[in-house]
Amino acid sequence: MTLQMWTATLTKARIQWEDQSEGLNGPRKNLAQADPDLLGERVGPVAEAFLAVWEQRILELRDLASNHADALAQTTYDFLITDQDSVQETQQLLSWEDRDTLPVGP
Amino acid sequence: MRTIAVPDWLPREPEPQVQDAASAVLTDVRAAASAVSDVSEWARTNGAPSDFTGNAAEAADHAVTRFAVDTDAVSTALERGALAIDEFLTQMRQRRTEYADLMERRQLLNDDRDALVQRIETVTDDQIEALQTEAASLRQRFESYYQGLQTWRECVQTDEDAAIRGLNAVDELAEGLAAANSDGRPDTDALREQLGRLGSNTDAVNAWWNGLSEAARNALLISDPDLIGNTNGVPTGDRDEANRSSVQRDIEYLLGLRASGHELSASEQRWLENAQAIEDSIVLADKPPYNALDIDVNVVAYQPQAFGGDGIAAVAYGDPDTADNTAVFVPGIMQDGTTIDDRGADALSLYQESVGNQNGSVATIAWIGYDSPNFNPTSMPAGLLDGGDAAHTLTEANAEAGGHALSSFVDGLNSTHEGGAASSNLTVIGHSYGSTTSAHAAADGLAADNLVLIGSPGAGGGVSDVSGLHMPQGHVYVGAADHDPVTWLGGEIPINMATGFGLGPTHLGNLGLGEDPSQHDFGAHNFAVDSGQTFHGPGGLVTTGFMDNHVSYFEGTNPALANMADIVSGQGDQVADTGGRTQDARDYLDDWVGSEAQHHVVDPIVDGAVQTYEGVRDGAVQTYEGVRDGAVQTYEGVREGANDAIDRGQDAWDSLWPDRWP
Repeated sequence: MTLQMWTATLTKARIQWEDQSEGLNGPRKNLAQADPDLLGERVGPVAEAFLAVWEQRILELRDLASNHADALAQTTYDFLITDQDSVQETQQLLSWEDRDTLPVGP
Repeated sequence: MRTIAVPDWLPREPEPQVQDAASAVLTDVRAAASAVSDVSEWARTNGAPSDFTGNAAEAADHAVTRFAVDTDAVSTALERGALAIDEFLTQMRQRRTEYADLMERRQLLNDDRDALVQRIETVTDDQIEALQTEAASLRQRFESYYQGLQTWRECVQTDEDAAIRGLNAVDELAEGLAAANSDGRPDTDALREQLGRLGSNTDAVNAWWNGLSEAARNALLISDPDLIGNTNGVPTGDRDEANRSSVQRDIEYLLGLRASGHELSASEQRWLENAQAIEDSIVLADKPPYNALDIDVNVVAYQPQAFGGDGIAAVAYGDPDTADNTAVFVPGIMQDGTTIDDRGADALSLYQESVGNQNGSVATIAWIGYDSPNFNPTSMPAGLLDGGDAAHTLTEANAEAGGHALSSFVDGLNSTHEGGAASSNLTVIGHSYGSTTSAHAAADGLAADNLVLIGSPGAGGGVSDVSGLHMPQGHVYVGAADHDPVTWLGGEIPINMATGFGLGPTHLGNLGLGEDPSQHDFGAHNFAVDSGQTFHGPGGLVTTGFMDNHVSYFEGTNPALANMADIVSGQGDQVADTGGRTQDARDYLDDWVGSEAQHHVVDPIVDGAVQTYEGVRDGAVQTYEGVRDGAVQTYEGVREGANDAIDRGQDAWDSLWPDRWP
């Protein structure tokens, strides 16, 4: 038997956050490799500051998304452990025949 | 003493610091903005709906909703920054033109000054007054030059100030958030809907695009670069900017995945190859001998996911929106987005030759915009021959669909030409299966001035002669090498499958993809090409027949290239008409098969007179079995539904098909 958990939703969310984290890695590199000196002596330094601000912000958001994904992975793991423990404890309280009962929907 | 006041020699003004290479900065910023916009779109879709009326604190605490706000701020800031840089670069292009004019003017003034000084050295009294007048005039012209130079410097400074203001306005997080919530932000959803309603009307698309504000165009280039970069009717320069940022976005994303330890899947690897092939095709123009030509390269199509990952790609050498002469090169089988660099080399070769004719400006485009039959396993429909979809070469299905796509692309070029379609001499060149595709387009109405078919396995579309191609009279040109085996396939060649058990062969259909356009009776203007080398056996068929003879039309030593360049540069009337073939294409094939029977004196099979030849036609697999009395052949082909033939043909396929088709 198992307790019905929403692990599928957790996994889906984790993957989505991972995707967003990976999706932000590219733009960070785009901004890092842009050469503001090509814009001349006056505009170049301003562009450099502009690029630095948003590269840093993208880096933060990338890490934030990655942290969310990690948190969801940890939660999923915790649920699985809890689920196994709960199942074991609950099984001991059920009649012998009902120990492997499958979940029934509402 | 009387004096003549001559102005001082004019010093050279330093060159503008901002050159064409600066556009790389814009490409990177747009690529970044576009990728962040994609992430923001995901968050917006999965966050609290915009019309949510419940507990605001609940929405504010929702991580995805907050992420949507944060990424939108970044995307908007980058969008604004890109706009500022774009406008700055546009102005700098104008300033560079003005600078060139000023320096030309300076040179003339200095020349005039030097000439005056020389005359003063030998002046006589009676000439002094005239020279004083001349010197006064020169001083005025110098003064006018200085004023022009000063105005130009002020313009540069004004442009720089505007760019600095634009970038400074969004270089803090709070400013990004404010920009994201500002009323004046272009509504890209609405703009996308407007574009969708215009359908394939390229004139309407062009008028709509040109009517948008600079900010709206910039926003669309960031929110929808894949759409804008591939929409016919959008000007070439804007398509190029959109596609370059998509390429940069994709490369950084995929390389990032790989760098993080993620093993790229087959489709991701192919996606990366598509993007890198575009980069390579751009770099080609910067290498000798083409770098001396200072070619403006434009990426006019990039869809790496199209056709199951085969990809769509098109690169223009020169600007087709301003060129006097434009050529669209449509290659044949085994071409996809990953081979755009190879076909770009052909287009560059044609560009160089055409420009050399000095009959107006030129743009040549390598266009892989249709599903060319090839061997990408991931694009192969279930049940087809293992190894790919080359069996489609036996049919005109891909050519027909490709013909429609080609027509639409050409319509777009006509719509975006700055002088109007009438001021552009537009040539479509189809090679191999691409000639069948081009003929299909022409049969359905292709808005081009010239059609060139080279190495053709047949002019498709049910056309029986040149009149069915609906081109201006005398403007269908054909090049066919005598020893190009693909050109032996035009016309009707029966495909029969031996059934055994004493029964006669089953007729499966006809080989070839339409009439052989090089036939004299077809009525095209045939031009001289290198005939190619004779060859023997399956190995020779591949290495010489296909790899050399079939793909050599763009080589500098082949007269075909100069003839095509004449046609492209509007000098088709100077191309000699060889008259075309008077021998059926099938006869060429029969002759080769017959000569092979003589050449290989081995007859271990049937009645001492039958040999087995295994051959490959352009994109298809056939097993030629049995040459009897030099006259009877049975062609066993591979075709959907002919499973027996497929099994037998597979061996020939494996041994004959080249790893990489030229």
